[in-house]
Amino acid sequence: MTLAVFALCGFAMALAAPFLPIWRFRPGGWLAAGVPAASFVYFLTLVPRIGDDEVVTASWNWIPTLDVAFALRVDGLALLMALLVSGMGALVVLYSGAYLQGKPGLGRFMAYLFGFMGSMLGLVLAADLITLFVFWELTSITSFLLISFETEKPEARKAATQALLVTGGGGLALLGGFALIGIEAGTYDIAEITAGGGGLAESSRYLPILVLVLAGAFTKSAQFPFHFWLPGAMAAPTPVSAYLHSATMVKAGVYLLARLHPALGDTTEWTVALTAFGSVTMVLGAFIAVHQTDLKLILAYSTVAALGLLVLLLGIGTDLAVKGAMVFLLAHALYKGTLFLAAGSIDHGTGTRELGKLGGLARAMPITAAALAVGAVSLAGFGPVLAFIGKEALIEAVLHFGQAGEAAVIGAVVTGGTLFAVAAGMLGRLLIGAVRAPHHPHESPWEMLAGPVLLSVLSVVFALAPALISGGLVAPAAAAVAGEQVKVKLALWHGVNTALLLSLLSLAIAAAVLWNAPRLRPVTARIADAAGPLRPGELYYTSLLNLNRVARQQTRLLQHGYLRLYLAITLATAVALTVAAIAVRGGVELDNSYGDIAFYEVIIAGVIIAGAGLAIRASDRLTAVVALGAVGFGVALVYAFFGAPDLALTQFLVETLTVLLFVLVFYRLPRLANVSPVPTRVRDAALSLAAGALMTVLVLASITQTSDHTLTAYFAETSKPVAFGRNVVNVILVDFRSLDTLGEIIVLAVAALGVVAMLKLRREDSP
Amino acid sequence: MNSLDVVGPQLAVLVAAGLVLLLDSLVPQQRRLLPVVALLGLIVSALWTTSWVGRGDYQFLFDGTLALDKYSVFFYYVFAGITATVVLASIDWVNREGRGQGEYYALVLTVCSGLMFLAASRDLITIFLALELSSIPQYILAGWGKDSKSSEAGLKYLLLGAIASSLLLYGMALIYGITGTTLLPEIAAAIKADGETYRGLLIVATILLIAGFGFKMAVVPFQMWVPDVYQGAPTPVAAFLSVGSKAAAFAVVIRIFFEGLDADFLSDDWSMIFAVLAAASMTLGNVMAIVQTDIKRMLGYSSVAQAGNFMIGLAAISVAGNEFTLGASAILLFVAAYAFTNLGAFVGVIAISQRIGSDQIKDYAGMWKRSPVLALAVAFCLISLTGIPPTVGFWAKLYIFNAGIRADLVWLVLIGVLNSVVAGYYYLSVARQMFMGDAEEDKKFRASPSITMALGAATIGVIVFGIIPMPLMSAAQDAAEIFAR
Repeated sequence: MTLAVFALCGFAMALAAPFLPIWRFRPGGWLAAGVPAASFVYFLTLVPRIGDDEVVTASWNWIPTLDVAFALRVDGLALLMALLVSGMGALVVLYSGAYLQGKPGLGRFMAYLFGFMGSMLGLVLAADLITLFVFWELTSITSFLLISFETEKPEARKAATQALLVTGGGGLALLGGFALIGIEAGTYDIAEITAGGGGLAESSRYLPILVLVLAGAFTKSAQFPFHFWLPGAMAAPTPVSAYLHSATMVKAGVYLLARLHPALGDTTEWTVALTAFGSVTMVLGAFIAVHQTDLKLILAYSTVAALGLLVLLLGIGTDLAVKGAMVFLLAHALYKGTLFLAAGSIDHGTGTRELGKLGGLARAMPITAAALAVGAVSLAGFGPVLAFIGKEALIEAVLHFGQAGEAAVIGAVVTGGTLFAVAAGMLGRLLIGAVRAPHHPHESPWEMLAGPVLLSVLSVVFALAPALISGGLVAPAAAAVAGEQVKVKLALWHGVNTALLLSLLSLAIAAAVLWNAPRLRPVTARIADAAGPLRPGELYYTSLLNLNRVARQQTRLLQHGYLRLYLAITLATAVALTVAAIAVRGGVELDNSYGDIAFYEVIIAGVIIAGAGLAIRASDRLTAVVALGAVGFGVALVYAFFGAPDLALTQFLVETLTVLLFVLVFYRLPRLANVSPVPTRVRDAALSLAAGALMTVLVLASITQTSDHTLTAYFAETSKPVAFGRNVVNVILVDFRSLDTLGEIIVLAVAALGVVAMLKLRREDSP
Repeated sequence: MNSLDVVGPQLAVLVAAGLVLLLDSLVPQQRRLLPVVALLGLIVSALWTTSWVGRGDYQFLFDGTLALDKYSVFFYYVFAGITATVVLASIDWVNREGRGQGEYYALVLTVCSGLMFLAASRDLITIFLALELSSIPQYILAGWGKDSKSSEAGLKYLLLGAIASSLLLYGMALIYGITGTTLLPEIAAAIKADGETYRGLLIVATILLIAGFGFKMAVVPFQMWVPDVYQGAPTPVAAFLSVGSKAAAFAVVIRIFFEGLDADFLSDDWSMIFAVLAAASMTLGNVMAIVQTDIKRMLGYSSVAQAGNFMIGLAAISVAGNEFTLGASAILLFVAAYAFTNLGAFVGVIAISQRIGSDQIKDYAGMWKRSPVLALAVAFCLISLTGIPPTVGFWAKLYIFNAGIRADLVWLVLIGVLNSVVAGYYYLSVARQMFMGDAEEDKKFRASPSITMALGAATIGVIVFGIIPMPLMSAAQDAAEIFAR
């Protein structure tokens, strides 16, 4: 219960936030930050218990019939994520209160932010796949609202929609995957699924499950080829980028992969897919980051690279890799949070995020600059920072990775070097030299400095004293991912080994890149231009355009609005399906021994056929109606001759009524003017004949093939003793099927009502 | 219990229809009471239904042609709720039109009684009759508007409906010819006895039945009337068509297939037919919905796609055979969820077009600033149509997919998943317009009280059952349980 309260308090705040009067005052943000801070403290108190291999759970029955529970569960992995979400949440709320101070709609913004926090905590704590999915989609929706917060900017709208479509679409794929898992594993309970270990990996539906889950995870965590939405999402206010698009939400995909690793991981498919997509994303993100000049875009692409790295590590899936992934997950949240918050502070203090317009911030904004420096050192992966330990672990893991190890090693080294170049370029331009900025730069208020300073300090402290986190946080988290105990011993300095040498090699690459930057830029720019249409972002737009085009053509083809064609298609479909069914299911038997044909039968048939022909050929409506009437009377005669005089009588009456009604209606219509061209008529005639022939065959077949059992005998026997009536037809109408008769009367009354209403309405319209 | 008691819910509605007509012609100055009388009739009908549930006394009546079981009861509630919402949503429109008010409500109520009969019928003749009882007033209602678009809608609906009815009748006649009975359980017995000999004919009859009901469900390729009729018919009527007759068609098809045509040798064929129709409906409906600029047409195509989702459940039923009611309960849940959601969306459309005088999606821009509560309600309905939590549409989709996978129709579920993504694109585009578009004018507005009531009821259903779906699911499961044996 306590767990649920602290996990979901964000939702309460989200509902209350728009109505709270606190946002106009500066301490409003401090108060609000207290809520996630309380959650953070609560989760901290759980650290010792989780470290002792305990789990904390809370569960309520939700959908017992589907075996879905609303269940929360804290294990090592969940705890690590929950601490990140609540801790970062507190800092970001504090920061946003100052960053957006005085802006209209701050209350609304806070509501979205708290809604997101509740959803994200729910996501990482969920113990049930369906619960997880509900929160997963909620994070997409709240992220959409947060990106689109500044809706006057057109690019914000575009970006928000793009992010929602990509992650929302991936989410629906995930739902398919979860449904499959639920049925294969027989439960939605995550702990049971992961404990069941090999069951899923050997099932025949493993591949669809994997593909659907990866589609969900890759879209959420911005893996190639879905990475393009993340830079677009930078239209969001900077604290949102820091929180959602770097520290927490984009990690949801990675989290999911880590969570399901014991159940789905360590197969060839898993390893190949994750390492391939992860490495490509990693290298691509780093390379694009080099070319950016907008501070936030640099950070966004380097985040893409980091997410790729995490996926790569999970793909390798050895204990070493899992341990590295957990360390890097934490390290990345710390330093990327620092960088984003510092970037927001720079934006706030100078009015721009363009590298080209900035300089000398070390003097103008010393605290921000210091935090930025620590963050950049982490991004580069060198120095006494947690990210260095993470990177060493990556290289270590890649080195021990058997298949295609060389390619992965090259990828990791190149990425490391490129990111180093990115960090160095960024720092050099921002901090050194004369003070340059559009406005006179000023340091930000303390609320905005608390976050970056605290995070960067932690980054250094954890690196110098890794024992603080190795036993309590990383080891339980790694154990949850690996599905078994993992020995975790972290150290900043391992002595001179291959990993360190490779790190140094990447340093050389960085130096080369930096040195040759002016010469390299045109070359890479040309490559980027040439690949332009193939860029996934472009692909996304062209495929949307194409989808629209196909849809338009399709609609024009199928929904042209011509009633006659609609009728023809309906009839043709029915005929075609029926013929196909007969052909496939062994045809029908026809009995061709018919009795003698009497001369009056020939005459009646002649009348019917002539009537139908005349109705078709008639050039005015009245003739057509009368001719149709003749068909009806002919059918009535058939009834009369074959022993159903009452039926014939009814048919006579109905026909008369119909003809009268038709005349009444058609009286008001103009003469037939257009007769369709010959080909159309030939087509229609062929279709009509086919339909008629088919029905004839069916009628004959049903006479031949059917059982002799009929209702006549039953009614004849029972009408006298049961219903006390000698006229069987009357008895059927008013007794056996009295309800149907009642219904029929109502139908007729309604039809009459309709006719009256129509006449009345038309009269009112044209007096 | 006598027989009249059994048709009480229908009679209450019909009596209300008569009262409305009388009131309209005798006391014309009290016209604003007409919808009140209609609503009272529906309430009485629902109370009558509830009184049975209390007694728990289920049985078959009128020689077995009508079933009083949990299944009928479920649909009685659904139809009474749908009709009440439609009546509420119609009030403004009818007042503005000013003419034929009594007739309008009487026809709406008659449709309701027809739908109720349809859900309870166990006999082919009664089914056909109930179908006509619900259809003929709908043809008239579709053409009720003053403009030529509405007349065109009425005519198209009537003519295509007539073809569908005749195909249905051929199918029923064939079944009667083969089995010599029109009562569903007797049909089942006859088919079990010696049906295999007539396998070809039975399949043909099934196809004709599916074609006839497919028209009402609006599945591809019998969906052609949908966009024109939805756009042309008065919007409350379009709302009625989109949920009422679709739900009834699925209700009766489930009954026919569970109680009448449930022989094992037939099920492979149906399953294939249903699965193919489901895939075609979802895909074509969604693709064509993408390019629509008129929200009513868009909702029309989306209802075609949604019919495809329902059909996954039908395909699942037929594969798994009749000891397996998951498919049926999934469809029932979907029916209820879809009724809330789609009615909510349509009522939202009515509210907005009343104020801005347009059904163009581009004119929805900036609705969030002009009428926040309305925009939020419509957005929730759109999210629910997409099948995203925390809305009732999510559970419905999960249930349907679940049934599909259990019945080994993984390929169909995958198509459904892909289609959900496409559907999300156009549903959420409308939401984007409302929340992020620039309004041409900033004048704020509110919906009228009756519309607010209708929209409020629907949206609260969407959200509350999105968070606590269990009551709805239990009801659906109880109702489907009657087919288990």
